[in-house]
Amino acid sequence: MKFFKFLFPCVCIFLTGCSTETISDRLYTQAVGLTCDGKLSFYTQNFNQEVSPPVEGISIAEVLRQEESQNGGKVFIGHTELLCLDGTCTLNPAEELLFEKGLSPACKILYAKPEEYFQNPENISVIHMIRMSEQNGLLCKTDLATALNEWHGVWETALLPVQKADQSVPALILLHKDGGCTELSDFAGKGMYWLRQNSGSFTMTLQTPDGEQDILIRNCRIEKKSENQELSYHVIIRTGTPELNQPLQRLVEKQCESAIHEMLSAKADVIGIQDLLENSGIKPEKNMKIRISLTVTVQ
Amino acid sequence: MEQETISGTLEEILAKIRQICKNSSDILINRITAGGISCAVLTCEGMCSTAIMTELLIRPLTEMPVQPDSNTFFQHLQNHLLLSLDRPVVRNFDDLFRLLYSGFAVIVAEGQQTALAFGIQGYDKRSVSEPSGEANLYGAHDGLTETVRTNMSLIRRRMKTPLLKFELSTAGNLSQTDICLCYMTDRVPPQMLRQIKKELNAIELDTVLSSGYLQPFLEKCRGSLFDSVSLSQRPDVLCSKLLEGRVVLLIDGSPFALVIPKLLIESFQTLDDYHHKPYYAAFSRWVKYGAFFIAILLPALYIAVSMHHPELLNSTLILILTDAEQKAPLSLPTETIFVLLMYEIIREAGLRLPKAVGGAVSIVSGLIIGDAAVSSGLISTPMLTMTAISVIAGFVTPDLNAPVTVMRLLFIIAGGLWGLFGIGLLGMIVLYNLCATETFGFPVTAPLAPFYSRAMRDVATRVNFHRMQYGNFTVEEYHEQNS
Amino acid sequence: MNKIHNHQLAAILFLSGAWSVICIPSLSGSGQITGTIIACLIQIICCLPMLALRTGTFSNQIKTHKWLGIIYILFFLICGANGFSQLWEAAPPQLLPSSGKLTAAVLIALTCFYTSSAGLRATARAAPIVMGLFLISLTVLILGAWKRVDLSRISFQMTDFLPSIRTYFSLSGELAAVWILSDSVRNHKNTAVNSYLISKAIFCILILFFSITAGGRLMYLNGYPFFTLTALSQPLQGQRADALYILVFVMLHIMHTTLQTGIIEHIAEQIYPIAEKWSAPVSLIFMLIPAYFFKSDILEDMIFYSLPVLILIIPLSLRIRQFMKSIQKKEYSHEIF
Repeated sequence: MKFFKFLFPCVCIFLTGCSTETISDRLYTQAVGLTCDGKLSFYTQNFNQEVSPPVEGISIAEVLRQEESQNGGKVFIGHTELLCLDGTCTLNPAEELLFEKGLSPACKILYAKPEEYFQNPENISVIHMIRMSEQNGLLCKTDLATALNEWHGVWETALLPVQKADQSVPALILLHKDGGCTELSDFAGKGMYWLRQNSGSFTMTLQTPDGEQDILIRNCRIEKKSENQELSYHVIIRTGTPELNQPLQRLVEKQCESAIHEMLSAKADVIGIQDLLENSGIKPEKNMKIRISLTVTVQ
Repeated sequence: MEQETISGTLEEILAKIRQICKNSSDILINRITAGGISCAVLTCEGMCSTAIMTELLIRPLTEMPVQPDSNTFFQHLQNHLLLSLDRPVVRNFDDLFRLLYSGFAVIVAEGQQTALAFGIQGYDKRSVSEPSGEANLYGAHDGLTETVRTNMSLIRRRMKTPLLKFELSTAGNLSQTDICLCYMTDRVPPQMLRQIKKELNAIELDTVLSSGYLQPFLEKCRGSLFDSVSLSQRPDVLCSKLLEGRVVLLIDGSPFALVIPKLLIESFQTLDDYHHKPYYAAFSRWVKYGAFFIAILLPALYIAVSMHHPELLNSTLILILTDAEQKAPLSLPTETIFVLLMYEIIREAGLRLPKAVGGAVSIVSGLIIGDAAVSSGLISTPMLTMTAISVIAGFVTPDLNAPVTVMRLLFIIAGGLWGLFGIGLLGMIVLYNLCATETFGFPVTAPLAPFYSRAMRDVATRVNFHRMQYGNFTVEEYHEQNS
Repeated sequence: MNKIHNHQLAAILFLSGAWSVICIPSLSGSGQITGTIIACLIQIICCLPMLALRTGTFSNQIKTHKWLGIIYILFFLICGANGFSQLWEAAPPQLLPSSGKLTAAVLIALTCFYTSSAGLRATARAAPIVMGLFLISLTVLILGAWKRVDLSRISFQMTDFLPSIRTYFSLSGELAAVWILSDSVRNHKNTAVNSYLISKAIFCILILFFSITAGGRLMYLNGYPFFTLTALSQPLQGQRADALYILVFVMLHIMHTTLQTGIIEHIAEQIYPIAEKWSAPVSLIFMLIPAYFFKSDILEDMIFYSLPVLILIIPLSLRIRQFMKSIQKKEYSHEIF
């Protein structure tokens, strides 16, 4: 018995040396892209801005195997910061990457054609662009988990950022399950910011009759209620410059109204309409008429 | 040993003594006629002080008036002459030899069935000096020595109360080593004291050369990673333990006293904590707690996260580690085990080497491991850094060095094989091992498990003495009775 | 059985129950929270008579009625098997070692073999420490989930709560251990039991609340809300921290299985002292085998139907039997005089 008690730790020590997978055997990807054209195509870019040739397969597991064979290491997507999708791919492969392959739920999604995006490795800077825009109140928060939540709703749409060549701030599009997409205007995009999230402080520039002026937004809160089929969204903003509250309120109202209008026209729900309806006992349907009343309070 | 009583003529007694000790050269027999009675003074070479013997024993003996018989002679010695402060009466050869070898002078006389012993010890002993371990800044700098009576005096000087009791006895069938049980009569749990005495009486060892010989008999849990009996070299620490109702066991020949029972939390407490302000004392305690966990877990967590769960690290760090590990030929766990084993070898070498050569160890280890191994790519720098931090953190609690070293290696193996899953499993095993460790009904994990909120004032923080003076805490509060 | 403190009893029962809560297979809606609250109240009401009606200590009862001990042993074997079955079904691949689920189960079984041999007292001492670590990880989980909370996803509902009451009961196998373990507590047994029931319900409600509000529709699709919540609620942006919950996962399963094995060992010691030495490894093997062959919903059904018998019918019938015996004794003594 004592011999076996001695043997067991020796075997364990020996086994630790036999591990074939070391830290340097993995391929740490910073960005991945997916596109479906009959087959699934998988693109990767690592942290050294090296882009691998795309691999093809019929499932996520197969494309990952192909990638590993091509590059001689296990693909690791736990640190992937960007997932690039075009309209050909639904978000289902992304869901598989999140729950089964270890993709971070905070990973940003970008609507773009991977074959064009990955041609220029420096396009990776869009990750920083998205993050800074979200921080500065120029872009509403979008990430993989939020997009998947919206995707599984009745309206089956997700709000994704898209990089525009002539703009420093990414725009927003609504991706539909049939692969189509609706681009939101800048105005509507900013309205989405107020309608989708509570946020901390940032500074924004306001056009006033006296010219451009900076206004400090201390925080912003959204309160949602539903009574029967009437939904009400109340945006509450606290600012540090009371004299600019009135112009800000008018601007935010227009932005939010534009956002709601464009979203409903595109038959989408990215502001939690389905949750409000379900909580008031109404079963949401894709073609039902939705009435939303909007109130903006700037304090 | 010989339980035979002393009897017969002086010649017969001396012949018996020579027979028992096989004419050992260190037994000195001086025949003398004192007070008209033939007697012999027996001493052990080097154990008695010649000056004290001359002044206190030989001169009074030679100047003694003539006595009518040996009974009167012994009565005169016992009642009218104070030849020493320790004067036991010896009735058998067992006690005679024990006292002789303890530095007593023994007088046997013609026609007497007993002998008289006089404590005139003068053997060479180490003077009271600073303890080698348990260093502190503000406390006393004297430590226990190898002489049990000196140690008793060091404790008594600090606790001038009649409630402090010393009980001398012996242990070891051949060595007859003096041991001393010290306790506060008003605070010690009586049941624990009875059980300790019972255990000590049941020991059948031939020799007791250090406290480590007795420690296993007082620790009731075999297979435990942690000690349930602590060692200390500091009389001030021992006094504080006595005040809490614990039992201290002093052993002749060892400068380390055993303290029963031990609580794990004491390994993180030092006397300096009671000299600092409470906020700093609390801060340093928490640093020690953190250092303990770092010492055990840091290399294992590093291996587990790097090999099995790299998503826990941020991307910058993972790239640095990947670059560093790319050149290393061995797997992470093997590297770590190799470095730790090298450290243990260097540590042992440093302990055993003569001081003159000790400096060479640090140069060789620093150059070979610190520089050459890393430069050659045999070992990666991040892994070496983690291991070094872990080793340094282990120095914060030297008392727990043995369990920390073993657990560190075990956790590395578990983390290397199964990642955080293995660390979790082994962590539960260690936790259960710790929670099952108790001695004489006192769990080592008290006051954390079972939880005593009142005790947190000296565990989570260190309240000031204004509050600490009220409480009269004794360790008996932690006793868990068996049903 | 050695004496333990009441807070230790509450911690042991809570941790065993917490394992079942984290393995809840699916989310049905806000009504599940209502169902949990009602189920907790029913359990509190059931436990009070169980503690009040029991006649003497459990050890004395099973010495007299050995069949009782065998019934309890079978029940705890099913609970332990359910734990392993939940491990196989609930645990996502990332949480278990790459060598597979069977290896993970065997490793846990080996660990539980050691932990159950350490005795109930060691379990009682370890439980509050594990509880502290568990609460820290729960705090981290809540802090990570808080950013994603959208209160519009939840509302108080009095519909569809009946299935969740059934689910909650089938995840409460440790209720049967209340009678056995409360014998080991000197004072405040009711306080300990109520603390356990209420804290387990609070934990369950927290998981459901955050799953619904932070996870949204993904929770309903993916199942196993706790594990989905750990995947979604990341406290740090750059890293994925759900691997840390492996430690929670391992701790809770070991506490859960150790409790079952420890109780089986205790019962075996009372009814067949010779069997005590082998009861732990044998019971672990008998937990692994049914877990391999049966799905957890079958085992949970067995638990659900057995619980009322063990926590109400058996104590009640023993009490009635004792009452009838005492009446007969009085009548007999009246006849004599």
